[in-house]
This record gives sequence, structure tokens and C-alpha cells, in this order.
Amino acid sequence: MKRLLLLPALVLVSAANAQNAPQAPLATEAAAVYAESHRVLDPAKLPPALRSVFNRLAEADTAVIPFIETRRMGIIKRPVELTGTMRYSKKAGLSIAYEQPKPRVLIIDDIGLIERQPDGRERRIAKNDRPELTVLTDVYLNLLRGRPVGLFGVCEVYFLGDSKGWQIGLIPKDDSLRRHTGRVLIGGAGREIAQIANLLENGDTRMLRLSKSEIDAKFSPSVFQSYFRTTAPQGGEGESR
Amino acid sequence: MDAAPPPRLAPWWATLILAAFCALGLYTLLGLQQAARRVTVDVLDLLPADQRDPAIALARQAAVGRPGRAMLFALHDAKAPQQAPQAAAQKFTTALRAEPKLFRAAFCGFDAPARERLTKFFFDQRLALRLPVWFETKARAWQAEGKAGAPDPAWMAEKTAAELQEFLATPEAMAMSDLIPRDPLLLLPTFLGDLADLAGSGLATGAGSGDSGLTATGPDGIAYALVHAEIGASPLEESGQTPVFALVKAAFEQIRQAHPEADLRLRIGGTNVLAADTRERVSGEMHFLTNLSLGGMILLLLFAFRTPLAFVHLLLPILTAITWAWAACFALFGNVHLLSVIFSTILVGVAVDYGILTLGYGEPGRTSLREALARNRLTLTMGCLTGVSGFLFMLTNELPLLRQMGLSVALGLLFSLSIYFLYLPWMPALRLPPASAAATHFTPGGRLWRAILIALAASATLVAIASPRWGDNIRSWQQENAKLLEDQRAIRALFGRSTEDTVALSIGDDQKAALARLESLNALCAQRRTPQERYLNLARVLPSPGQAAAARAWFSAQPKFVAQLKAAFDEAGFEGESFAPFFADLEKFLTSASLPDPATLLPSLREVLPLPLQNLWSDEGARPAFFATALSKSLFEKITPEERSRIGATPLDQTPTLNAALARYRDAAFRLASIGLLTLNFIVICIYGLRRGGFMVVLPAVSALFATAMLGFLGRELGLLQVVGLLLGICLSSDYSIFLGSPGSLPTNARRSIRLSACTTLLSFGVLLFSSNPALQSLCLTVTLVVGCSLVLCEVSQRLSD
Repeated sequence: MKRLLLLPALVLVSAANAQNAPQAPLATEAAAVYAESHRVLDPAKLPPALRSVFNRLAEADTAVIPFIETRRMGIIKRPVELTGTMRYSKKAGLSIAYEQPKPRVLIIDDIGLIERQPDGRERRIAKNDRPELTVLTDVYLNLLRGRPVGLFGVCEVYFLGDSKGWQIGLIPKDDSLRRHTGRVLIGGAGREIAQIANLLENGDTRMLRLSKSEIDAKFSPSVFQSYFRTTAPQGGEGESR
Repeated sequence: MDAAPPPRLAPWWATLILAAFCALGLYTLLGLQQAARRVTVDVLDLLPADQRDPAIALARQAAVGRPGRAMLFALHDAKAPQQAPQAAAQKFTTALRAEPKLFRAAFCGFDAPARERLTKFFFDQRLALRLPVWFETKARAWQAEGKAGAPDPAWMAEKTAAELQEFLATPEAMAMSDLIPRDPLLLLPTFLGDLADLAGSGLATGAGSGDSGLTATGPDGIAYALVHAEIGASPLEESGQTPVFALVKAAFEQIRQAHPEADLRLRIGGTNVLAADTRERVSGEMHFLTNLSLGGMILLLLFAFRTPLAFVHLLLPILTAITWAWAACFALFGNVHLLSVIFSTILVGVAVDYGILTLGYGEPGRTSLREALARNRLTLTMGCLTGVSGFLFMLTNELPLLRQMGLSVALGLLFSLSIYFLYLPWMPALRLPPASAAATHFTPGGRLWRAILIALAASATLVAIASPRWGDNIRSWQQENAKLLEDQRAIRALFGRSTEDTVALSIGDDQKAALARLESLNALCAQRRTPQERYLNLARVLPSPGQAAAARAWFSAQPKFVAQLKAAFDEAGFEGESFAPFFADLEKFLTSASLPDPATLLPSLREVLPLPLQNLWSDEGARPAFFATALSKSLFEKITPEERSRIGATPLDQTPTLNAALARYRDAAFRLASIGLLTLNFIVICIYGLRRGGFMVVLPAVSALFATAMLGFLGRELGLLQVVGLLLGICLSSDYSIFLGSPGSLPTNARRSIRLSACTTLLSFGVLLFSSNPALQSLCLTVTLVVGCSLVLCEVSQRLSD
């Protein structure tokens, strides 16, 4: 049950391949992207800028991206700030390692989700066990791997902007997922993702600002062991380079 | 002898009347067998239904109650082994649910409405269910800081505000943002964590797995979709087996057809699977072995008497006697164990001795069977009474197995001899092959007695050297299918059951008492566990009576706490007004005139929890009641037997307790049978005198001692069944020694009768030595050793006779 509450964390994932932190529209300023006129209905007819984003995402095998997450919630006056590092591996999935204020690692891959505590304790949930988790893992895996087709099956997709500055808006079709994650907004410039935001229905927001990332980083076996479900995937991704 | 007068009743009329009586007995027996579950293979049915030991009573309750009715299904797709066939599992579950008489429930994961129900229930009851736990956690933290007494309310308020701040930085906080204003104490998030731990623990009933609730990846890398179901009938009854398996088969076939793209495979686990397998294998093997035994005996008798008429003379009376003896047993006992049924078949080998002796004395035209019976009346009566007395005394034992065996054998022997006395006088004597030995009378003189005493001393010495150990193992009573058991364990492992854990039951007279004992167990576990050790039970989601009382007392004593908490939230930077709904709920709860006792929520809790967790405690109203705990074996071992006894914590595996119970029954059986035999032996000595009577008594004793020594040398423990085997062996040996030692007996006839009787017995028991049931094997080995030794002693005694 608690594991199900980790679902919102998965929306952080689509930033895995960002290299820099270019200027981008703020999430709160971006409601315009959800206008019906900006909805992209056919994955076969993507706007060139959006196609470029997907193509760029598909190029990276691994990435390491420091981030700062800011949460604004109605119950607290000051925003809550978290920092950490994302690690992406095309084969092993995405790892979000929170460092401050409390260390914790979330691992999202083709099997499901793991929340790992610093003392090694884990909570696991397989995506097959929860339909909305399947949807969510499909969303981020398809995004990271640059495969837009799967994304259109589970989300309404909106796009606004051009190559200098753009926004992708996602609205999960699954009610439960939408309630937990709200609308997802990904902003970037050129080929880079700068921020990801969740806009919840009650007005709470979460904003993830991505720092300069290291693309195609080499992951040692100990990194795989600490930040992913398994040891290094077969084929030696990350190790050979 | 003079020629016998012609009988007043023609032999064929006598046979017809006996056959009709036999048919009537069979008809009665079949009528009694119509009731469900007359013959059982479950070891727990060997124990008294009103067993006084609560642990054993509970083991019975668990076997046929909810925990025993669980069935586990693991589905996988051989074409796509990495993908658990969840959709197929859902259809399979729906098909099972469609037959509520066969499957009370089936569960393959929460659907949205069920999840909503559970969450709503816990949200509505969060203060009743979680506030005591919340308070105890805080009180423990207070003490951990080295502070004495009740926690200070200001400290509690600051701590709560700080924890809420920390929570807001967790991944799940955003998803809870709607709930937090009504639950700033985080009662629901901590409950969800505890429930996840509980569901993932597997416990006795199986739930959860490494990755998720109802899918699992096996050690072979295959992904399984799991279905947990509960059958409507007892797993040990026919209604909990055949129709259930038929439905499962049909449902599986249905989903196979619905998913032609997949190559679906189904693995099934459950007590009923094991029980059905045991019944099938035991029945098959026993049919084969008993038929082999009877066939061998028929051939032996045919060889000895050279006429098929011997079967009419010998076997029809026994068949009639056994039929009526069993009719009496079935009428008296509810369920009869298969071991007792098998035991009754070997009665043929015992009862036939009387007929063999009688036929041996008959001679066409010279000695009629009526005269042969008259001549051997005392011998036959004493031989029969020796056997009957030992077994009749078993009726005073509590153990159903002993009572069933005792009654069936005692009645079988009595009926057999009675029918022989009634039936054989009307039958013609058979012309038998001439006996070879000289017709001198048997007299146990000094030479024989010296040899007997030497044999007695030697046997006693052998027993001392072999030093056989007493011991019972109830597992050996059940014929286990190792391969099937391994598969069952693998299926349970898929459902999350760990081999590192054990399951303990907190037992009380009723649910309230059991809950209090669960609290005691948890207190000990909390005190002694290492970080690696765990214990999981319903206390994760249900406060104990002590926790509830402590929380109520503290809140009553701290009326300013609510105000202090509001201030602490303000100071920590929270929007105080956001929590107004929570403070309204809390004040209403604390000022309520009758705070609900958490235990009263148990029935509602069972309704909303997922199926596997519904079996964590006994049914409402059940006595004794229990709560189950899954805990690390190492942690349970830290609790001493005295402490376990004090807090009513009992391991679910009742093997040691059952073995101890068997040992008690064994002692009682030994004592009672000894009294019976000693009494009869005394009567034998009184009737036949010290020399002859002594011989009749000592010969079986030497045989029994020899057999005991041999069992010791073979490394077999002396258990209940060995005691029964020794008793039966002594009864048989007594027959032989009485046949031989009776003053009127002719050694030629006695020798033939003894040899034939012993051979039939050795054949019937010897064949059962090939049984795969270790218990039956041990029993037959014991009897074979006693009877074999007796036969040798009888042969030697005749040679040493004066």
C-alpha cells in the first residue's frame, strides 16, 4: 500500500537525459500548453521539435543528472526542498537518489518500482500488480527511450513551442494516476530538458530543476548494485565506455 | 473315534445361511459407509476430537478450518515466462468465485473497489485503530531519550510537527497531500506501511511475494500470477477435493481457450491436494498389498488342504466376522482411520488359526468337525481370549486409533470363533494330507524348560545390549509424497513464505484472551529482537487492549495537548487552519463517551482485509481462539518454553506436541494391554498348571523380547505402533503355544496347525512390509519378528519335548 504512494515520484523520470539547465518556461506559467489546440493526437505526425526531443532522448545509453526538487503544498508556508541525483541506464531503468534532507533511492524499471532505504531495506512493487503503475512506467520508459507511441496510449499529449523553447504536457488517462500525479509538464529548450513539474488538482505543485547532466557516464558494478535493481546488465552497458 | 452321526442341517444350508448373514453384514456396512468421510487418512483424526491439549485441538481446527482451506494457484505462460499472465489469473479467479459453494473466496489482487473499501475503513477508523499505536511509538521514543514517566505533551507536539515536516520530504508525501490536513499524525501512511509489511510476510496462509502482492518470480526466473482461494468444505473431506479439483480443471481449461496465444500452466497448492494424493496412493497400494496377501493366503491354504472347500470352511466365517466387526466399528466411531482398516485385514491371518486347528483334527468318517471343536473347545477359547483381552483393554484408551483397532480386532476374533463354533459342526470334515510326525503327546519337561529359560535370559540380554529407544514420530504415520511436498513448498514460497520464519499461534480461551496473549508475545519480541529479526502479526494494524488503554489514559490526563499541537504546527511553519478538520475529528473522538474497543472491529476488519490476511486470527466465537504471528525462527527460539507456556505462544508445527501425545497414549496402551495379558496369563496358568501354563506364557514373552531386541539392533524406535505390534504378536504366539501345550492336543495336528497359522500370518504381515507407509511397515515388522521367533520356538520345543 505504501508502495503505491511512491507513484508520484515516477514523474520525475523523464528528465534523465537532460544535459544542461537552459532557460525554460516555468510550470506555473505553462497552463497554456494544455489548450486543446496544442494537443498532439497522432504519434505518427509529431511536430518536428517534439520529434527532435524524442530522438535526442533515445540517443543516450546512460546519464547522471543532479537535481533540485521544490514542493509547494497548501498546508505549509515555506516550500519543501529536496536535492539528489538521477541515474539513468537504458537497460536497467532509472534511479532517483535523494540525498537531502533524507537519503532514499527510488528505482523504476521494466519490472516495477523499488524504494531502497540507506540501511538496505527495500519496498518493492511490480508494475503488473497495479495497472496505474504499469501506465506510469510505460510513460517514463517510453519517454526516456524515445518511443512516443506507447506514451499516446496512456496519456493525452500536448506540445507547445519551438526548438528554442518548448513544453510537453501530459495528462494521464487513468483516473487514479491522474489523482496522484496531477498533470505533468516537461519544459526544455533546444534539445535539453530543464524542468519537470507536477500540477496537482488541489493546487499543490512539485517542480524539478535539472542541473547539467553527464551523458553516457560509466557505471561501475557498485553503482549498479547501489542504485539499480540488479548488478550490471548483460552487454556491459556503461562499463565498456 | 466313532463315525459321526449325519448332521441335522445340510452343509449347503448352513453355508447358505452363513452367506446370507455375511451379505446382511456387508449391506449394513455399506449403508454405514454412505455417510461422508468414513475412512480418513489424516493423522489428526487419530487423535481424540475432544483432545484436551489446546495446541493439538488448534492443530485440528487449523487443518479443517480457514487456514486449512486455503488453496494457492500459480499461473504462468510457458511461451512468455517473463510475463506473469495477470489477465488470465483474473479470469480464473472470476471462474472460481462463480461457484461460491465450492470456493468461498478467491483473490488475485485488489481491485479498485476493494482498495477503496480498505482505505476508507482505515481512514474512518484511523483514530480508534492507529492512535494507540501512534502514542506507544512516541512513548517509546520518549523513553529512548532517557526520560521517565509519561511523555510530556509539549514534547509530543513538537515531535509530531517535526515528523510531519520530515514526511513532506518523502516521495509519497505529494500523493497524500489531500489526506494530510485530516491526518497530520500520519496515522494512515504508517498503517499502509505496516499493512504492506504484513501482506508481504507470507505468514501461514501465503500472501505477498518479493515484488508484489500477487505476482511473483520463481527461482527459475519464471513470472507467476498468483491466486489465493478458500474452499467451502474441509480439505480432508471428499467434498473439499473431487468437485473442487473438477472446477479448477474446468476453469483452467476455460482460460486456456480464452488465451490461445499463451501456453498457460497451472501449479496448485493446498492441504486438499496433499490429502487427496495421500488417499489415492494409500488406497491403491493397500488394495494391491491386501489382495496380494489374501491371494497368497488362499494359495497357501489350497496347498495345505488340497481342496477349495477349505475356503468355505475357513474364510467365509472370518469374512462374516470382519464384516460385522466393522459394522460395529463404523456405527460406534465417526471416522475410521485407514491404518485401522488395514489392521483389520490382517485379522484374517489371526482368526484363521482357529479354523485351521479344528480342520486339522477332523477326519472324514472318523472325527467330525463337531467333535474336533468339542475336543479343542478350551484350547480355542483360551487362544481367542488371550488375543481378545489384550485388544479389548485398548478400548479404555482415549486414542481413536487404538480404540478402533482394539474393537475391530477383539470383535473380529470373538465373532470368528463364535461363527466357527456355530457353523463348522454342520460342515463335513475334510480329507487332509497325512501328517508326518509321530502322534505322541507334547509334554514340557525339564529339558525344554531349561532351554526356554536360557532363551528367556538370552533374549533379555539381547534387549539390554540393543537398548531400543522409546519414541514416536507422527510424521511417519503419514505416507508423504516427497516430490509433491517439495512442489507444495515451492508454491508456498512463491506466495512469500520464508524458510527463515516460523509461525506461532497465540492461543487463548476466547478472542479477547488470545489478543492479550498476542500482546505479551509482541512485548517479548520487541524486547529481544535484533534489527535483522522480525515478527509480524495483526498487532501491526490492530492495537492491543493494553495499547488502547494506555493511549486513552494519557489523552485523558493531557487535556491541553490539542492546543499544544496546534501551536507546534504553527511554529513549524504549517498553515494551522489547514488542519481544522483533523482537530475536529480528534476532539470528537477524545470526548466521546464510549471509546470503541479496537477488538470489536475485528469482524469488520476481516471483511476489508485481503483474503490471505483474513486468516491471521481464528473465526469469531471459535474456542480456543488464536492469533498467528510470523516471526524469525531465531527470535522465537529466544523465548523459553516456560515463557511460551505462560504467554500461550505455540508453534503452528505441532509435530513435537503430537509426538508427546502419542508417547502418552503409547504408555497407556502398554499399561492397559499388559494388565489384560497378565490377567489372562494368570488364568492360563490356573487352568493348565504351572508347567504347561508357564510354557504357554513364557514362549510368547521370549518371542516379544527377541523382537524388541531386533528392533533395537535395526535402529527402530519403540513407538505406539510397535507396542501394538508386540501385543498382536504376543496374542498370535499365545495361540501357538496354547495349541501346542494343551494336554489334549496331538503334536502332529498342532504342528501342522501352527506351521500353517504362522505361515498365513507371516504372509499377510510380510506382504505389508513392502508398504511405503513407514508406520505400517514398522508395525508389520514387529509382528513378523514375534511370530517368526514363535514358530522357531514351537518347532524347537517339540523336539525338546519329553
